[in-house]
Amino acid sequence: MALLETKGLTIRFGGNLAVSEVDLAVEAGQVTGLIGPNGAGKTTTFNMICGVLTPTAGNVVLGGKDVSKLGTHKRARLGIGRTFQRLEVFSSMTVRENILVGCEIRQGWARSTPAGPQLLAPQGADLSADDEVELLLDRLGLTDAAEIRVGQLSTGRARLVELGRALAIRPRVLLLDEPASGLDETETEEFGQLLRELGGAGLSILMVEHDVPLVMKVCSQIFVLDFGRIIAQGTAQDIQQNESVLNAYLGSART
Amino acid sequence: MQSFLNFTVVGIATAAVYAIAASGLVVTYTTSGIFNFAHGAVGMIAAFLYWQVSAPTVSGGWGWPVWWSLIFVVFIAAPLFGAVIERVIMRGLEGATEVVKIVVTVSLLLALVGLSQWIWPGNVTRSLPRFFPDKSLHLGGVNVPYHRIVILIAAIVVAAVLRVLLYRSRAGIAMRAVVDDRSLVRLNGARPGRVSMLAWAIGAGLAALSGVLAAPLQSVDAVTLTLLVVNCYAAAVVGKLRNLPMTFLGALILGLGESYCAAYLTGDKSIGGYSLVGVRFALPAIMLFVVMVAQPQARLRAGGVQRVRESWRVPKMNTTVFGAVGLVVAVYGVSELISSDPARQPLVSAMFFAIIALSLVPLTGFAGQISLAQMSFVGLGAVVMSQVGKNGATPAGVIVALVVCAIVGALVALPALRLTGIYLALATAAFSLLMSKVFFTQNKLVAGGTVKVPALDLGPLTPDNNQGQAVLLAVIFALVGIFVIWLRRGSYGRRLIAMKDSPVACATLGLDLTRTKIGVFALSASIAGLAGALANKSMPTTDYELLSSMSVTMLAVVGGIGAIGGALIGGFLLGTFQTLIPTLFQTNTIGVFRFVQISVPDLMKFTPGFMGISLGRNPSGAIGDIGDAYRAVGETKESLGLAIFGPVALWYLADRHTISNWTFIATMTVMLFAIIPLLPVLLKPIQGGRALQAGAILIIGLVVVGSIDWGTAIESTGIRVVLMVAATALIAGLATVVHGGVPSGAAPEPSPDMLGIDRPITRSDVFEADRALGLSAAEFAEPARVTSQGGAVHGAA
Repeated sequence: MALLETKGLTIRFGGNLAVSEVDLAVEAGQVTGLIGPNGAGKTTTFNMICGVLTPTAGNVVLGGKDVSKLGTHKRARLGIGRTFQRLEVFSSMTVRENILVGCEIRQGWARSTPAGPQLLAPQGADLSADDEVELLLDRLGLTDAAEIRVGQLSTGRARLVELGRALAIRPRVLLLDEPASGLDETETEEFGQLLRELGGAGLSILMVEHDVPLVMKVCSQIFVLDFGRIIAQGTAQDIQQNESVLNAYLGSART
Repeated sequence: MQSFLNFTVVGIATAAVYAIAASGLVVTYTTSGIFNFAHGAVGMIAAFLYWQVSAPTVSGGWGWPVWWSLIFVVFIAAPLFGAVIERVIMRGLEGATEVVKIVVTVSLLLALVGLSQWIWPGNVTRSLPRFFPDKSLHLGGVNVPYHRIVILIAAIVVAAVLRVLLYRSRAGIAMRAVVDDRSLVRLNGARPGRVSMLAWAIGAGLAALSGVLAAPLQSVDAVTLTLLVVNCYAAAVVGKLRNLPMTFLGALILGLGESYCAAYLTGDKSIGGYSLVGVRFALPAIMLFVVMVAQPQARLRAGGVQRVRESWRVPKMNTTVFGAVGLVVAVYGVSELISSDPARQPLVSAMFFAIIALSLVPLTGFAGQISLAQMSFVGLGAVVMSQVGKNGATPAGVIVALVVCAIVGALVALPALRLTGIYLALATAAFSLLMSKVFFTQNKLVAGGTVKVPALDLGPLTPDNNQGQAVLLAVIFALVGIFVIWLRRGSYGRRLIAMKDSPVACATLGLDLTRTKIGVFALSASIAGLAGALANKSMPTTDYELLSSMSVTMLAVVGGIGAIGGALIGGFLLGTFQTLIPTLFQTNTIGVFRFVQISVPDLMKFTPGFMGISLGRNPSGAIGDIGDAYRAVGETKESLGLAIFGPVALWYLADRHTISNWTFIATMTVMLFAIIPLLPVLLKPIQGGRALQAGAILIIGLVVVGSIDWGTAIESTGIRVVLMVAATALIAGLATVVHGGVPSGAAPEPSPDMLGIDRPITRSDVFEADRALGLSAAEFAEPARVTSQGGAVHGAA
């Protein structure tokens, strides 16, 4: 059974049906992609999964447990982490502090709701908050920027800070909202590497991304959203050959 | 039954006034996104203006006919005023934080109250006749005065006109579009600025109408009419501050409820000896809380973080402790110079208010939440202390006061904190009104409207005069200040800042936002309560009123809410300037265009409000600028040593009566605002800087200023102060010019990409670059002079 599932997720804003009957399944330890044109409802779906928006209908199920009624912070404690399409960094703090706050908030609630292991750490390592911050900074290539205020970073690197902060709460499933936008080619390459490694360590990832080559390379399962509906799902190969996806989003190669 | 019908009629008319005012509030809030706390104050000014133009000449008015007065006030003066407010003040607030927006309109409220008290002094009773006096309609055995019918008709007309305006007219559709998406409206070619201006004009017109209609029912009193705003927003929250029909419903419930309370909860009704007569005034607060509890938790917004305009550095722990000790020593030193104990009162008062301002630092400065009820918590702490400390105030009593304030604070904040920031401001203001009307009026707790707080019993150290009290409060301020900085530097403080920067990100990390906010609100309430418990004086309960709380919050933010030093400045603004300046400058007046003369005490009535309004331009507050100048002082031992030694030496001279106290003040002004801030600049080795000559100018300046006996040489206090400031500016300016190499006060962590683009390259930039590259002065030639023309950079460094 999938680790994270949505069942019939639907939301209306006034008369506008933004997301309709969306069923997603994110398998444990795999990178799943959610793609679609702008305005298709990808970020709205994310917001419903992590509890920022309340769906009109439908459920969010994490590890077999229905979390639809829980608030955002409770879902985070159960293991749903995320990053944002429009940056939500703590811009008055340094890079190090941003990630440290993540660790400290986790330590605050982990007493009542145990958090999982740090996936990037060697097996069985017992890390202090400071060590964990160093580890994350190192793995994300942010060590040199540790003392810079995040407000002064480029968007691409600020996205990495958000990723580090999300990893600091040791999530079971991570929702990444356009994580590679603002990264250059080499950085995207390294980022894809990191995603695969995280998946290998057992983290489930659901990723919204417009960099189609990246999605095709790292995602084992892809869902395509258009006008709030799932129009296709399958492996990268299935999607690339799917007629309706080509029409709606990827565009046709034929001239 | 007869009386019930009578009170129903009264209630409906009251409701109609609330409805008119509240709909104005809703229109401005939805269109401009700024909740206008000064809405009632606008109505108040309009009522006074209406009195001014319509009252017969014998009682000081201009004797205009009623209809012409009405049209002038409601349709010309008020809308114009609203439009000007929007253009001059509110438009600059786009993108400002919620706290700044709230503080600016609260400041406007205070400024308007001050202005009205200056223009229309309260020593004259002004009454406005009702419309069609003596005429009434007999309806089912009930006498309905024409005035109330006029009000009702006015409300119905307002409702109908607003409906047509918002849904049928182009302007109204544009207004509703601005609410939905301001930038989109701009892209579609409409001008949101003009739409906002229109909304503010309509809002002010409605406020004026309600003020003119309400004033004849009550007396024309500045504070009463101003605080009508609380009733208005209690009505408006029923419609979630957006929905007009629901707002009218809220107004109806409130108006009827008040009328029935006035009828049936009279002076003899009580529960267990506690009088119920104040309950009618508490209705808005009760209604507000009920509606807030019934509302679902506010949606988190994930729309990208806003750019933070205010910035405060967090001092290191040892700097904090050093500053804390310095403060206690300074307070003791200054109190030593003042020879008579009663004259030390302003110092006590300043430290008292500084603690209250400090209570807002964690809440507002760190967590970005606001409270307009700090004085209520001060009062609560004082009442608890006066009750438990009847046989002497012990430290245990202080702890009881702290705990009570924390619990009450948490209960007040609980319903509001689930919602957005504006609701906390509304709830605390309503709570403050409730406390003033219901709690502080209880004779059982507060005999004769005065709370007597005993001195804290510290054995032999019990403060028995103003000096002791000032030092005690300074010690408490220092300790709480250290505690607050310790919190800020630790994990809790980081969490609060994170929550201010992005609540939604904190929630997705697993932080319980409501609980965190309640914690910090309780902390803030208990610090305010601490000030009350340690007040060591008899305080009239009028000290705890909403307007006092608003002044506290405003001036704390003016001082600089994110820093301990800001709280200190706020405390001095509140405690010293407001009491000391009017007495010192009693005889001084400031002439404006020769025909208006404002006396300084009058000026003080509304200056603080304008200071608050100016916050929109500099949200970091005063401490932001001062802190920037002083930050470098601690960096080298020499400048730090001189910064300590200089004031101490001056104090020593004053204490020995070598120099008079006024000369001490003059030399200290030069010391604090010219010499100390320039020290680090002079001590830094900058190429071509003439540090010695500049230093000499500073010393000569100080000696010249010190050799004048300021107390006797100049008669007027006003001229004395003006000359002091001028001398300081002159000395600082001369030294700067002579030195020639002042490093520009660059933004923190300037981007090297912007070097030479945002401002011309200075010698210090070159120096910094050399240092960063590890080049010594010997390795390069005299740096090429770089001009700013065209922003081009020619081979510097």
